[in-house]
Amino acid sequence: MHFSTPIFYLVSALVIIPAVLMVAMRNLIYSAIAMIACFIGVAAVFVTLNAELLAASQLLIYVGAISILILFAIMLTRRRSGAICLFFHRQSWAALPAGAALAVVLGIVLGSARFSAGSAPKNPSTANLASLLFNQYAFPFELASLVLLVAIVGAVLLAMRERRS
Amino acid sequence: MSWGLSFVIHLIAALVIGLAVPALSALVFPFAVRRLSGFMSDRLGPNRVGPAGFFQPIADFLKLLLKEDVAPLKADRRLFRLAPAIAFITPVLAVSVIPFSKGFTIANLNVGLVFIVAFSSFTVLGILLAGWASHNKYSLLGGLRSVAQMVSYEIPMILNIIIIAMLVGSLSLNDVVGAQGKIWFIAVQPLAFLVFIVAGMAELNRTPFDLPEAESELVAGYLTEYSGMRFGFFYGLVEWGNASIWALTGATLFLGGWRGPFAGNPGWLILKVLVLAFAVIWFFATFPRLQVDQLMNFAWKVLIPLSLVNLGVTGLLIILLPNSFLPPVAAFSWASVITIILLMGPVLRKALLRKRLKLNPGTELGTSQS
Amino acid sequence: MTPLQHYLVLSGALFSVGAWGVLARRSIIMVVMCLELMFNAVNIALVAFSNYANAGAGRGEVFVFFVLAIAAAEVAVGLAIGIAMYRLREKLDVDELDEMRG
Repeated sequence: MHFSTPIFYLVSALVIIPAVLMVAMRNLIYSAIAMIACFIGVAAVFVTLNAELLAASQLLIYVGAISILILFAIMLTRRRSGAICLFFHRQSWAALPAGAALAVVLGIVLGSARFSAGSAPKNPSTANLASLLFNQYAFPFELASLVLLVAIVGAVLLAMRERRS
Repeated sequence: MSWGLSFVIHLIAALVIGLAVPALSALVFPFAVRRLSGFMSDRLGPNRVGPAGFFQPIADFLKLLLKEDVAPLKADRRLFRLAPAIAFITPVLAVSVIPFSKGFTIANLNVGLVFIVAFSSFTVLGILLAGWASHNKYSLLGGLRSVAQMVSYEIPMILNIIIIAMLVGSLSLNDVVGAQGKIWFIAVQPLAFLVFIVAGMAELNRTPFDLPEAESELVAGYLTEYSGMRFGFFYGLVEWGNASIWALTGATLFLGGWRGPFAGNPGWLILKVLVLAFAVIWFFATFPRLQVDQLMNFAWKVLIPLSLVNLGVTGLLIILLPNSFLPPVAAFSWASVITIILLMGPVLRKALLRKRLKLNPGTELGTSQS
Repeated sequence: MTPLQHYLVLSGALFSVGAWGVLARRSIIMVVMCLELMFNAVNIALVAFSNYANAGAGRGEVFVFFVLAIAAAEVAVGLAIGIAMYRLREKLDVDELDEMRG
């Protein structure tokens, strides 16, 4: 067995265990921390797939920006509703079997699928990635920046407290 | 098993250097701050323990170590203990991508620059959790302020790192040092260096941007409830470790890294780091603190537009003159730095006058009480 | 080398956990967090395909960048809506936010 396989299982555990903990824990802040652990695990998965730039972007965007936003939102909304009382709702007993069924179906389908893929991973270099992103996908890239701009303006408008005159 | 051996060697080297850099900075820098700012404001500073007070940091360390480890009654204890450790991830990991001399980098990544920026998010996380877990309004407000400040100033920081990456044409720190054989980038991009310094001060929560610790309004910010070794962890290892990382990054990006006369070696890098750290201390002793609204305005209305213009012009020059872009970039950058310095006086005076008129209308500049 | 299917099964498992969370939890913030898990699962699959595919290497990684950008936008707007809702109704419960029901 090649040494990459045990590393893969280790890294998968780093992704899946925090993810399950995140859904199952009552306290929202702890859930958020489990989510951050899961994001770091996903960055590790990217490293095993030779995608260092993506791993760094994952840390930068998910751990550095999105998690911070979510933590801010949790802290801003905690006062009266409390983190503890928000838990499972009336139909959530059905959610676990549904999720498990989805996992089984996806596992069977994806695990048994045959792709016309090579067995050895290739190594798309950062330069290769950049030339793809800024030549062939330049227009979607610009569109993404527009979406981000609209999102910033929209978020500020939605979250801003209305000034009473 | 050669890969296993090299993995173990790398791991040990990463741990030793990653822990040594923050530990040494925690011992040296707080003491240097106290002595130097004492000297600058004509005081003595700590001078009792050992010759000229040199053993003061060890005494402080022992004191912090022996203090009782207290957590507030209503605090979330697990998070309260976890937060300093999360924040400490940043300096330990970020050291590993810095090139210390030719061929001596713990992790020679081809995207090292992105990783340095990415690792800094752990400190933000730790500070936010520390502020939250303390269950104290001063801690929470200090933590939120600190995080807002760090996230805002990360943008000009990244924009200026991108400028250097464009000049080099690579994201690897080894290539950055390699490209500075003839001329350091501080001479090519002084504007980027200035913004890097200012944004770094804010990112590190240092004066004049040390509002999170504004003692008159927030006690000690997110550090309020921390005492003993956990305080030492945050204040010494995390804050000053990050200051070292910032200085190491700045020295590598703008001051030629380990390059220097008589064959480049880590000694030159350390010297440059000490020069940058001295600048931090100098600012600490010189500038007053900003207000929180001024701080945010400064990031979003001054630093980010300035960096964007610099980025755009530099990129344009690189595309127009692919073979000899360094002289025009340097000309543009120096011209803008000189313009900014010349304009700074009149603009500040005007802003001061406007503010004074707003505070008590009718007074003229010079006639109001100072 | 680890076969491609391993990564795909990992991605599917993470996606299912995210789906479970979206279905089971009540807090709107928690729902947004679980959506992020599902985004991450998709990213793993994209990077794995990009790494193993014979032709067009790197395209999957390019798409991950777009997913990152859209995810950031989605979180910002989603949480802003959540906070606005909280200001208005003082609750974050997706079950009780049913004003739009005809």
